[in-house]
Amino acid sequence: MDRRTFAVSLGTLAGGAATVLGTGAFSSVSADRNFDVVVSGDANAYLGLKPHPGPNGAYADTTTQDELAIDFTGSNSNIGGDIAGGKGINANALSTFRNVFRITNQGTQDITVDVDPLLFVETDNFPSSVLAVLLVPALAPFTLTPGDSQDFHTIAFSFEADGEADVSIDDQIEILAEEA
Amino acid sequence: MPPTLADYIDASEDHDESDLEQIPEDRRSDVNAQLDTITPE
Repeated sequence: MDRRTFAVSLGTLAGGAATVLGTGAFSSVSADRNFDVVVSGDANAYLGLKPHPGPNGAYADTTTQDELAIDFTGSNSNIGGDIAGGKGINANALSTFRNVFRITNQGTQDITVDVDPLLFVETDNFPSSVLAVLLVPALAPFTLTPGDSQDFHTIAFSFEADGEADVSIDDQIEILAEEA
Repeated sequence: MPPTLADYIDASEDHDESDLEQIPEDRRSDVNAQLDTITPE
């Protein structure tokens, strides 16, 4: 490289450096970038709410909006499939269902989850007809790290003085997740 | 110590001790036994 060529190269480098430093002085930049957001069903959202993968997960149905729904009724769409025809819990009995649904942290940071209520009770001419359902374990609230899950069971008991099913439960569970 | 049915009722905004008292004792015992069995350590 002769002296002239070197000088030109140096000048180019200096000019290049000046160009890089000069970008800090911009007044505005306009650029298009992709920004994709989808609303996912409960099973695949950042807060995963889904039926348990075990057999009793069939009692946790999924609505047409892809939302989790605990359904111990004749409306459960798994009847005829994983549920062999049953349409409700037994009267005058204590029924336990292990591993019905699962809450999973499918996000990026620890979360605190609260589930409320954990007890549902419906009565008619109390105490001649009582239907109660408990969610187990009774955690309020609990923490999940990314990838962690909490499985829920249910205990249901029914007292029917006349043996007829007089009461039912149609309620909602509130599941609240916040950054831990 | 696993929670009992009484604990659930205590924590419930919609129910109180009087509800618990009207549930026959043997039924309460059955529920508490189930809670004891399936509640994780």
